[in-house]
Amino acid sequence: MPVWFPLFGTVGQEPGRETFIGLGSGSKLAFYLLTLFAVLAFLAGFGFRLRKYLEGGRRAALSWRRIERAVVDLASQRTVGKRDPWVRLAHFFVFWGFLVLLAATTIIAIDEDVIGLALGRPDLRFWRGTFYVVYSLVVDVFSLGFIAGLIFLARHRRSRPLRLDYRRVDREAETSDRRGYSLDDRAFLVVLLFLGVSGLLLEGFRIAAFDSPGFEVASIAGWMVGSVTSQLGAAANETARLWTWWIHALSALGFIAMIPYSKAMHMVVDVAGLVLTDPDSARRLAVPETPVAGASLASLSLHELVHMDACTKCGHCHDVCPARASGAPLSPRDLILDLREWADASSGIEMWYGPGAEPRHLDEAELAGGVIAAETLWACTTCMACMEVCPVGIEHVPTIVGLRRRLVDLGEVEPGLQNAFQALARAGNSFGQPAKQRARWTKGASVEVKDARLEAVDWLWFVGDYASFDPRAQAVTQVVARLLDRAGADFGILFDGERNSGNDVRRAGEEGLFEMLREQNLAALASSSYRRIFTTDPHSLNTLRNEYGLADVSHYTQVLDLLIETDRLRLGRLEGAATYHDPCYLGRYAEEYEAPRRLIRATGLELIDMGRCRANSFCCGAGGGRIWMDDSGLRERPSENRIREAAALGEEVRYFVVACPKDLVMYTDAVKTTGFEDRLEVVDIAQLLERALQIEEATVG
Amino acid sequence: MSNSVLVLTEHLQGVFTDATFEALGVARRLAGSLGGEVEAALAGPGALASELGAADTVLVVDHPALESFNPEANARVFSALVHDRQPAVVLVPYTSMGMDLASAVAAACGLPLVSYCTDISAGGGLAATCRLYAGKIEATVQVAGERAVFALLSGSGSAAAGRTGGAGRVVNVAPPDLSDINTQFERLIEPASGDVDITSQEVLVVVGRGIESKDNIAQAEALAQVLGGAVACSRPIVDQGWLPKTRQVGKSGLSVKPKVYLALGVSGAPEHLEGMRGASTIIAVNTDPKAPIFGVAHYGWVGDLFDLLPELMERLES
Repeated sequence: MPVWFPLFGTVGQEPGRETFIGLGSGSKLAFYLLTLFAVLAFLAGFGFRLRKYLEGGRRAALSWRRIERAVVDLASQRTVGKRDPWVRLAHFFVFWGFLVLLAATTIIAIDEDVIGLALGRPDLRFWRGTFYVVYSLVVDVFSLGFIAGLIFLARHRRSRPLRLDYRRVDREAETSDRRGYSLDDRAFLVVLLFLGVSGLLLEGFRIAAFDSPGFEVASIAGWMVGSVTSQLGAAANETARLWTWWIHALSALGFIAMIPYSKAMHMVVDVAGLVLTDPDSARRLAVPETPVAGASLASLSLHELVHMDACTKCGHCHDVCPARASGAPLSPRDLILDLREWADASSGIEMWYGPGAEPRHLDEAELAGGVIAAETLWACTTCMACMEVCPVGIEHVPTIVGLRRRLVDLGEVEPGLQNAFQALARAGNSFGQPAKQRARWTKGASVEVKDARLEAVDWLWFVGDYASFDPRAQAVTQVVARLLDRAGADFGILFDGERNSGNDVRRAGEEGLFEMLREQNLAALASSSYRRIFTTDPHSLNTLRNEYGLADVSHYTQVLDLLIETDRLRLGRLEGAATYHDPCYLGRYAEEYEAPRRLIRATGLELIDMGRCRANSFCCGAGGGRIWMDDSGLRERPSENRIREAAALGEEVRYFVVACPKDLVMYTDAVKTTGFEDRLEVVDIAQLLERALQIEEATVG
Repeated sequence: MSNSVLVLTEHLQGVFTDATFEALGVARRLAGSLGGEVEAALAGPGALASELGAADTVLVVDHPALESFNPEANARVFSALVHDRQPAVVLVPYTSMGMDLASAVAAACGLPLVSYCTDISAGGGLAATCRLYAGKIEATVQVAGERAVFALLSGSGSAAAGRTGGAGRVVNVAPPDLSDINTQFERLIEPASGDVDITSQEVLVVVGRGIESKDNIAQAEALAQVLGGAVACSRPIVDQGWLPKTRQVGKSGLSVKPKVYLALGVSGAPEHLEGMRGASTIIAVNTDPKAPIFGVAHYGWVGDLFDLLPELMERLES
């Protein structure tokens, strides 16, 4: 054993070593046969899965942009652990550690088996010299990171965070057995850890077993292990090395064979999942194809089937889902896992820990309302928090909408939603009011509102249903009209020509009704003269922008922001602190986080954000048609949960600021039912601006 | 053709409905004027036949498919019986089941159907009095032919008249082929035991969040009792679990149109107003003069409902 940390490159010997030291030809043959077996098991497992994917009815489009994005996602691990930077860091180490270790083994295989054996050109072998030294150093550094990351993740798992709680939310815990999941998780961690540690031990024994040359110090971790085990003597180290070599090799091969039958499959499937994911899939829902009736793989798309397998049960979606938080029978995680179990079982695929699917699922005639309960599907608010946080690009919302479409086809519609559909079909608004009433709010606005169908305007204001009909939201709509008028903006509305935009109708699964509403709105727009469009309703903003094919659609907060920026509205200063609720469809969907915040600050109020804000904003519970459905029977309405979060910011926060008519409705209710009516005022940004404007005008005038 | 009157009986869980006995009573009278017999058709277990003593003959058709109500099987069995026996009059109790059966049997046998009958007469041709437009109009209908199916509204005869009489002759009739019946009886869902139906009350005392606690609801209950009405509520009260969902007025509850709607501490969110706007007289009591409930109320009082309640009770009781 040489002395500690001698200088690099002991004179006279080129760095490098033999691959199969001390293994006879019989042992080598056995190793190669086992390798062959492991690779076959690996290929067969993924072959079965591939066959399952190809049963999917629709194929996703591939593009270089998607591949590029997936490569960046993978390399940076930016999609992992979005709500938990420590987990992201740990997974980053594990990911890169595994990749480097895999590359290390591959390099040896190329050097030994391809160049040395298959090509028969030992002179071309490169696993020696400086390359060998650098290789040793890199591999050891990464394997240490690999082990450290795994230890962190194992400890994290022991702290039992909510995300990793596999208890179901839609039924009694006893009725579902998910021990297989936990077993799989732990086995995955333990096996990886074992591979990492046994690899280091093996290296140490090898270095200690021979009078290793000084360049081996580049294997820093192995060198340290070796310096300890060398005290046992060379012979003992050699025995330990041979044993460890076999144990390490066999467990590595066993692991490879098990990849497609365990949680480890995510290492492979997630690459495909990230390439196939479309970040706009919820913003711009796909037009349904000819429906495939019944519980059939063909009723799902190829990328949906891939995404189900991609799920690692990380539970981030479970954590952020407002339906889950309110006690509704929906967890995005369980929805995906239920579908996966069903898809696996119906294509005869089993995980190593046994069949996942509950037998009842296989008897179901339908996915929608059968394998996945109707109450579960109706519980979704389409807030997109699950998709935003999902590390592997699963598209929960389009899948849920797809299943809702089937429910609508089957006539299994939640009663409140049924009423709304009927009102929308008959009157074009969910309030069931005559179209003539839509612009009635203009009467009390004390400014003149132009009819964009009769005269040309700069801004066409697509007001939206709630802003037009709900008495609470109407007051805000009048404020917006006054602000625009005060700023000298040239705007007009469609009066009785406007219909519900259909964003939530579509997301509730009523595609036909959506198409009808879109047609009517497009016809009204075509008959008017305008330069650009804005809307009060973030939900309408989404569908007008992404599903109507209209260019230049803004939200009213963006318009007001522009008017203040160009000095067309001068504000006085309000006192106190406010918090702001990012509406799902303005934040996550339209990715507008700044304009509303600039407006609030422009009023002089101090803005204090809640913990869940911006992309991680919580949902009020109204989206995706939920506002039309019965929300009694929830443990805690999402809106009440949110108000309590705001109240917990402290007494100084007086305003709960919203930028969406549905939020106004939901939160004015929630602030009453939670008893914070006296402490928190639910107020629209426009109302704050008007107050600040009045202060300014009082001082000036 | 015979002069007999055939009653299609209806039973649920082994018990004949009152409507069946009412029809039997009417059938007795008709058979008298026609000079024929009363026949009762029983689709189901023959053991029940003993209760149909008001009929001269009980025609029993038993088959496993007939154990519980099965509209498809019943229609086929009864049509076959009517076809075989050729009665002058077929009487069907016009219940939910009867609505299903009467038209099916009439169509299958090519007979005229007179529905919503409150009275039937046979002297001088078959005729009936029928209730139309939810009872706003009564029509006298004369049957053109000599035979017809009549669907009798319940309450049109006396059930007691159908319960009397000795033991009728029991004739077992072989069922028609029922092997290709597509309808299957799954289970009987019993409605939850009845709470007060707030939609049928003339006076509603409606409590909102202003009632403050569950215990205070008793005061509203007392007032409702004196006024001869019932207590209803807005959504937060149901959320709190202070009253059952069956008492909730509004979009996610029930729509009501009582003569008097007394709102105590109800602010009147649009979702609530949606369910009560149609009430004839709306009286609102609220501490907040800006509460939207005053926008729809015919009479309003700004003040504390707990000041009002005791005084109101005192005056009402005296």
